[in-house]
Amino acid sequence: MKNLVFIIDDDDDVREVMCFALEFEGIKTLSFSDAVKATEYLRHLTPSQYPQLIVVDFMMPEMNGIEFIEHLRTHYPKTLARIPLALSTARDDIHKKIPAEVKLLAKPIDLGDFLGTVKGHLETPVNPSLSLSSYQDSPP
Amino acid sequence: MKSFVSQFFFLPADNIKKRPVVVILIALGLACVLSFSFAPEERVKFLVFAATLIFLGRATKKGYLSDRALEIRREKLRELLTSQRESEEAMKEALFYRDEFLSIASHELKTPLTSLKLQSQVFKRQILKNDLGSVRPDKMLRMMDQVDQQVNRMVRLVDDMLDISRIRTKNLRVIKSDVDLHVLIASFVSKMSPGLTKPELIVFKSYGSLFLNCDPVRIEQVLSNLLSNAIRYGRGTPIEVELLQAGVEVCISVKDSGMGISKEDQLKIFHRFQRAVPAREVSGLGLGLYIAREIVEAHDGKIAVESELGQGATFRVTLPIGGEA
Repeated sequence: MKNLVFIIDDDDDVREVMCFALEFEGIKTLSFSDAVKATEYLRHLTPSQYPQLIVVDFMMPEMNGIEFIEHLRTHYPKTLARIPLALSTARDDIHKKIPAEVKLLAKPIDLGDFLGTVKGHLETPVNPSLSLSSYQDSPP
Repeated sequence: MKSFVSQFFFLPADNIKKRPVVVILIALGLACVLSFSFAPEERVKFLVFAATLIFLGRATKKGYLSDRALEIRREKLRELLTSQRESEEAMKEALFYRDEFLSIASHELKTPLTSLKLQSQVFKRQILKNDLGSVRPDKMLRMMDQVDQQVNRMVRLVDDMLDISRIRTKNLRVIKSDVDLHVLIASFVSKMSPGLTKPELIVFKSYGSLFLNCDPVRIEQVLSNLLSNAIRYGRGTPIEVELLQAGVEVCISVKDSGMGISKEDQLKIFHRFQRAVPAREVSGLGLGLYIAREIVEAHDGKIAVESELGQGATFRVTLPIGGEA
């Protein structure tokens, strides 16, 4: 699926505004309020349905962002673990704990930094005039 | 001399210092021997005089009485050192919790700031692209509404921190008036419900009007905290808020069927900066229940929890009607 980004964050407002920001750029989004639900959805996808990027928050109940990354690498090393990842966090002391290839987005997130990270992983150039998709809290 | 005496009595030299009775007996013995050099009628006077001198001598720095005084001083010093050690431990713990709190408060403030920053930058970007017309009015209204909500969220965080300071300085303000709790709680629940993913999540049970002399803003604050916790830890299960009168008390309970609280954690959750869930996993200042308890106690009431791990929790606030419970 082209130009699709998954957002995983337990804060409803942050999730909504991140999706809103991407939808303005014509990027489709799907969001999840926790990493467990996201993992369950992801593992039923075929590789052609994978998103171009997953942006996951660090501090979440049940499974935090780093645990989510490690879970994908441990259980799905040849499939889901290959999806590019970005970790968003308000903490400034965890950069040493994340793999080098995972982009760190420091909260409060700068829009330019966010869009730059996302656009670097898109398959096709973004057309800003694309109509906005509606915000989704959970997958259909 | 000391070593001579110890050798004579087969005692180690240092034992002599710790055995004042032995020293006194030796001195009295010598005094008795010396008394025979006096006339018989003078011996008693001499012995009394010698005994007085001997006991006074032991009351000096190396005497029996000063040994006892020294022991008392040593005991007091030990108590002082123990007390100082306990104070240092308490201070270290307080500093740890302060630093932990500052870290958590910083995180909590950055969360609404994230939304505010992105929202403002998105609109700025659209203005610069001269593309505001592509934004649907309902979407724009929703975003502006969210800006307002994020600001309110930060105001609540700051107010919580101010309340902590006021509680510490005994300045928590409670402005009482006669309030119908049925109307107060129903109104609060209906304000909160639209913001939930499942508006029907909260069910309010009441048996009609129930008036209480209380601070409505503070009681809403307590309710807000209990409901926020029920939503956060309730795992999407229905939340039941009940208001009833039991004799001379009013009882407000908030019940969920979520993750529950262990007995051990039930002792901690009403304390400052304490949570039953590790800070790394769940956001929040850890002040809510502490402030809630202070508010309830400022109304001469009580707050308690009934819970089993994995079986939800019921928080119960009891408030006296017209006087102390």
